[in-house]
Amino acid sequence: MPDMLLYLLGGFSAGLLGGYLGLGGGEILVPFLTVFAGIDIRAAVPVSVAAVVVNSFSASNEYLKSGMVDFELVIVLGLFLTMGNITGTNLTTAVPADSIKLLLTILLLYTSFSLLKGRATPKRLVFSDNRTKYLLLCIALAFSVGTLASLVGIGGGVFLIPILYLLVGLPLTTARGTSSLMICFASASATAMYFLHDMIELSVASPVIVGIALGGKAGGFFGTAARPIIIRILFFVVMLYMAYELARGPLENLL
Amino acid sequence: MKRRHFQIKLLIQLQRVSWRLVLVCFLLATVLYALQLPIASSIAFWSVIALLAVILTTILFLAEQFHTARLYRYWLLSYALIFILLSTILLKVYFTP
Repeated sequence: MPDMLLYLLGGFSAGLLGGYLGLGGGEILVPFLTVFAGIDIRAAVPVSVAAVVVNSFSASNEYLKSGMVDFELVIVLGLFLTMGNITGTNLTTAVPADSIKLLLTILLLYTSFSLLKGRATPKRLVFSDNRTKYLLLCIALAFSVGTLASLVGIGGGVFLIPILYLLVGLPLTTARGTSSLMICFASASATAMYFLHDMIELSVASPVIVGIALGGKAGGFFGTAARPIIIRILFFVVMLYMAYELARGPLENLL
Repeated sequence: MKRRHFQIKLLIQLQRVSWRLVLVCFLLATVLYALQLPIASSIAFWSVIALLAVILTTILFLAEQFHTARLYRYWLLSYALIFILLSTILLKVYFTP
């Protein structure tokens, strides 16, 4: 029972913070399950991927309401993101757990530093819709993001949104909406793969999914408000702590 | 983009209803796990199946929207996505030793 509450809390925090800070939740969920709940990273990743499907499904619905989804890009890039996800799930068993932890640590550091910097909109590389011009590059990037995402248990929005915004030239909100529906489809394929491999711990996944779904709704509600610097600093410290805890073991083994 | 042919409202409605359905399934599984009832794992198992079926239905719905809008290239790509998802599952189920 206490474990169930911990998983529920983990899912809720990931959904709440993810929705509030504009993340998918996987970046918070995998370190939480590994560091605080003591779950092996190989078991935490599939649970997180399944939770990301539910969270992005809910988020995409909100973006659909405001017409902020580019369906053509969802299908074209989603196809390659899905292929990447399938490749990533097949690699999970081959890649050592320590390497996955180190990859996730790098990702955590990148996310926490970019969140600390704030919401300043970066300058675009392009000023028009360049989907045909950069199509091959976008496809290659979508495939790579998909592989990395399913390997570490995230959706990949942290990379996809900049690709859609900076490279393709979509408006930022449309980039977010498009990426959430794309992630939803692609993560579903990864979930199916993990499910078939019997790698999803259902007793952990159920409370986590309920938590992330409820937390995501709450986070989306608060997400429109300003993000005070104190919350960003607090989040930064927690992320740094989780990154340290994740990297400690693999680095000790390495040295 | 021929957006006027897309039945977005229907897609939103479909997503909303199915999201609630999936959430209720997982909530039920969570409660049953908390009560340590053996049926919990079976409910959770079918909840994951339901989640995947919902996503597949959404892609199928989107594919048909492309067809209605005469965007045949995207219609084919949507079915390619469905084909990849299903074939991966079938390959794993039937051909993995």
